[in-house]
Amino acid sequence: MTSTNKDPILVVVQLTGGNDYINTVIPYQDPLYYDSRKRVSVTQEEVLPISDELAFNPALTAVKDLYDHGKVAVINGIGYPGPNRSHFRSMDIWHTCEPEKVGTEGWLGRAIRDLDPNAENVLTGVNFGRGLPRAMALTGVPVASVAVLETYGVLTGITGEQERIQALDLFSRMYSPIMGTGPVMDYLGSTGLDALKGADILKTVPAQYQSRIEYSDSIIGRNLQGIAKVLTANLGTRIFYTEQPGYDTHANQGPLHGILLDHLSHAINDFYEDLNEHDTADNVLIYLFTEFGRRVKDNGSGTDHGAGGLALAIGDPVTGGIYSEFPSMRPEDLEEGDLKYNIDFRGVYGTVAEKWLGLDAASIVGGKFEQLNFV
Amino acid sequence: MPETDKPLLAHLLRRAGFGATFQELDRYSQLRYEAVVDQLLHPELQPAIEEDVLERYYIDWKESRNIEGALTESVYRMNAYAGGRPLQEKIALFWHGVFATGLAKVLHEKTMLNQIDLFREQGLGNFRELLVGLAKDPAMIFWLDNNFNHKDAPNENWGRELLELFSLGVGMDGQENFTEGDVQSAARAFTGWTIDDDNVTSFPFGKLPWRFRYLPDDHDEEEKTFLGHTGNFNGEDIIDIIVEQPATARFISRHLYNFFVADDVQVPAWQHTPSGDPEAIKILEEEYFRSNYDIRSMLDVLFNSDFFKSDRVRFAKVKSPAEVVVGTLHLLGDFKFPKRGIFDVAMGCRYMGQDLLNPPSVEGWHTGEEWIDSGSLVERINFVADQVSDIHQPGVRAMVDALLDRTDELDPESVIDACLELMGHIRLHEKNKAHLTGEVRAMLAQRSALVAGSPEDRLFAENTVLHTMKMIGSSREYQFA
Amino acid sequence: MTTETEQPVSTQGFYRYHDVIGLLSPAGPGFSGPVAVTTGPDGMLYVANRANPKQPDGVRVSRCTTDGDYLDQFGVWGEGPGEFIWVTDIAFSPQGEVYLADEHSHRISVFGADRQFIRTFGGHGSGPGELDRPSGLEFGPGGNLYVVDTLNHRVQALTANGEFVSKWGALGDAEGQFNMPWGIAIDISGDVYVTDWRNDRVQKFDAEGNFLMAFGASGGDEGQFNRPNGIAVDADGDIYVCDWLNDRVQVFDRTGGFKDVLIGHSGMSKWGQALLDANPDIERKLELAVQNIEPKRRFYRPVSVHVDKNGKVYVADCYRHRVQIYQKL
Repeated sequence: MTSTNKDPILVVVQLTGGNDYINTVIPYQDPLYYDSRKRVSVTQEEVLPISDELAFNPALTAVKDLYDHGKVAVINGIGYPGPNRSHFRSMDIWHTCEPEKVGTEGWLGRAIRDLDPNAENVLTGVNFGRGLPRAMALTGVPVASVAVLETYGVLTGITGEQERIQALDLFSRMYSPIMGTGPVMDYLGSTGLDALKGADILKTVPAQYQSRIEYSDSIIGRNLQGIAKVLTANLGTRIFYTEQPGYDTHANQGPLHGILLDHLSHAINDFYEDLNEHDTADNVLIYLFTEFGRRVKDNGSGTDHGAGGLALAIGDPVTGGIYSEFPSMRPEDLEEGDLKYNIDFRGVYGTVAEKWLGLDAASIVGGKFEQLNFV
Repeated sequence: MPETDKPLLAHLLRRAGFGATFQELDRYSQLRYEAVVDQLLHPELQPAIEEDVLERYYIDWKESRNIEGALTESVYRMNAYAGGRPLQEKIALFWHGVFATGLAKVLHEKTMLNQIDLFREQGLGNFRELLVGLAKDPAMIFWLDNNFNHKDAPNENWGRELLELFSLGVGMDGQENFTEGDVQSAARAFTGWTIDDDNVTSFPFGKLPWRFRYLPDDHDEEEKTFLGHTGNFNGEDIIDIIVEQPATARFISRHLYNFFVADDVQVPAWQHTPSGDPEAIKILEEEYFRSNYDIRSMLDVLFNSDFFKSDRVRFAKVKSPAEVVVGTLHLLGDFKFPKRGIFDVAMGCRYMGQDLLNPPSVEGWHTGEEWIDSGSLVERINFVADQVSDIHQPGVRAMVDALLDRTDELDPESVIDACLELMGHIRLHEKNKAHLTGEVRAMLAQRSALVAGSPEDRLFAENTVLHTMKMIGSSREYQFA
Repeated sequence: MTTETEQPVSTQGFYRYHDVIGLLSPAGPGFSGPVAVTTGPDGMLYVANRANPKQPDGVRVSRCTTDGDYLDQFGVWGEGPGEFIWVTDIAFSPQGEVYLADEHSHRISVFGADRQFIRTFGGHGSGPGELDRPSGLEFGPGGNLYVVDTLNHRVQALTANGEFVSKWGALGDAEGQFNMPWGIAIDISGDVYVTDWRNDRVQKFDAEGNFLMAFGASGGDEGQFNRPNGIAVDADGDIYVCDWLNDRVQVFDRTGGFKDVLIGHSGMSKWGQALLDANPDIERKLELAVQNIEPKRRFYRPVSVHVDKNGKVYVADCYRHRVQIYQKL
């Protein structure tokens, strides 16, 4: 439930590649963990315990700190029936809530539509990064995809002001809808017009932003700072998206994974501090997910694609704690060598959509699924 | 001989290459269409670019130390060959999209570029040979961890992706093409296929090249069952079985159709969703088997087919960022000789959503319509608009002069038609053409429309043409190939 | 570490491998695409670095002792006066000033003996005193600066201030013609040697540009070249040519007769060893390398050669980011 009269904002962070669940939230007392991962486990001495059974990866120092302050919900064993182990397919499933068939509509696209049915604000949804994630894709829903905030705009090469105004006017006429030209032309048209609108508004953001926070140097840090700039400019954006790539750790997982989690932890911390500084931490929920966990047994230096995974919800609105059961690692309980899931991810999405954003979960995630109480 | 239809040739060159300038179309149109196709299918018969000059000025490329250097070199080479050997570059780009390997993990630029050379050299050849070359390619071995695929500890990554993404595909006509057991057998068959020295370090004196190495002691010599066959299979045996499968014919045919003919649905949908032109796919599958898996033969059939020449598939593909960038450079006649600045241009390809040599995952890029989003569209528009309005570029100068030399007085319709033709026989929807005509008419109304009246007249005429080309380059229609 | 007498020797035995200085690094002790090497009047080694567009900070001139102790660096990337984009060569004037050529900006920049920027001249063009991708630089005994004006396919003689004195050459392969010439050396009598890059030969002229002799042909045998670039002449009149794409340095006597060839025998450098000492994981990686160690010793695109008065031969080994040093015996 929202406890603020400001509109609730959702920030989704996609950990791309398949974040290794059991090296992120570690069953550090379970001998099965160490037996299954002779080469790729984290030692008991290094982990950061959050309960008698579970601990954080040592790189997640800031997240542990937030956890201790009750701001982190660890959601265990999240997945779906018939897990798919291929990146694109599995990520698409997480983006579209369609495990059975190939979906093209994103759950966040639907959420944006429900929040802003008449698309009055082209900046209701903003993605920080290249390309548009399918999670936000829905025909008729504009989303600004910002690579670099400071240089975002259309026909920025035309320097003369009068010339530029005329060119953009012609541009908007040539991008107006034309009946019968097909979906791709339509899509190009609306995309172009929305870009134009969004660019005009986003142009004003960098100059307005003031902050004492120095974000640490990483891709995820830069993206979260970009989000902070737009968020604190109060342009009405309700859903932000970004990703941290690199989690496909088939080999040499130890050092690689540690660096990623370290960057992530710092970036989340810097972002949270920035929100606090702007008095807006109370209406922002950060949700982190990945497209699958990884196999229980390591392959000697890394782990291969698995199934059931982990999600994290972070922020002031969160009721911190551990939710859902950690899946059993006993061999007889595994499914083709992978952890079974305990809660369908669509229920977790539903929780966020309904209890945080105040929307109808079923239409967004495509059905009724068990929800949790982390928000 | 009557001239071969130029719009058709422009279409062919957009697909088999990165488009053609009006001068190139003039030359091509003197040949029969089939002869042009034949010339395109044999890039090796055209002159090579001057490698020594390239290496002299781009001293950092040969042993590039960062992804961006390799990306830059790739863009330069595509543009350098866009006139003489366009299909060589296009087929390399095609296979790079299918056999997607990411430099961010491989971190050995020269090795990655060697993989692209494999596609240049063998990409039009026999598919079985190409797969074997791929299985031995050091960048691929490292990318899919086959160097960690051991007899006593198999790693399935290469085995899985070989089947799922590089040959059979996940499924066809609603059926699955292989089982987890097949993946495991394939993985085991490739144990021992590894590389020399994957402990790459740049220090102290730069990297050393990787080489393929076969370790018989690390190879699993047990029996394996693969797609219904049983035996002590090694990697090449697996490939032999793979290339015989109808699913492989289907998968490769669909890929070729998607890349060269018209945008299909995304690859993950192929198991359940048929192609938009099943007849065309069938023709290509038949040629796949008839020619004994020869890609050149399949493309010969493809480019000469009715389904390719049909108006239905003109402008039926959204350009990939590589095509936007290289197509524009080729139109401009830029970077025909090494000079500074290619780096920044090449980065544009990344910002448009295609980080060449570094696809987001082994599944490559989402193509077609999915190249476009509000971010990438803005990049594309801005890039093209800036480039085509630069009169110092030889190609732009040639187009402007060609247009102005044809006439004494400008009128909006002719200017627009001429620009569309010179920029590659592009089509604008009549409504958009009307908008543009109104704009050009308003421009010309500001002063005399005489071309050769005075230096000011000439300058004004040139600027009018440049502005028209800029707006055409910014249009929706220009996003299609 | 092998002793002096155990150091490898060149194929004909006239030179012994002495040492290597270098390390891949975009700053500080190290080089990044070294394209020119010379010693200054201060007795120090000067190395011009080309770097790459992603690492513009790597563009600089590094200065170190001939024993491999790092001193400092100067020069930055850029198009402004005294900055570089594509640096090609260094030369010291009789007054001890440092001259650097840039083949993107088509300019020569002058720095004082204290390495502070003084002035620049040149500019793009084909007229007298204008340049089109200048590469080699060298001062004659008379105090004139000779510039290899590559895309003008000529050599120009200028005053130290850049005023035009004379020129010779045009595109072609006849005597006195050039095809994208690269390097230049001048002997004690003022005769000028030019590596005629695309003609795979060396041409010799007197100080006024009158043709004296030429040698070399395309190929990989003794006396043949595959795109020769760097060139130097020692006190005995022996001619050193960086046979670039053949990855070797050939030595010729004053008549152009083949004498010896250097192929590179690099061991570990001081800076390299320091890096390994600080990073045991890198050392382990190098040890685990299965490949034959030999390729690491060899030249990989030697691009510039310089001989000092003690018979030490310095070769800029471009793609290995080091300078290999031989001793004339």
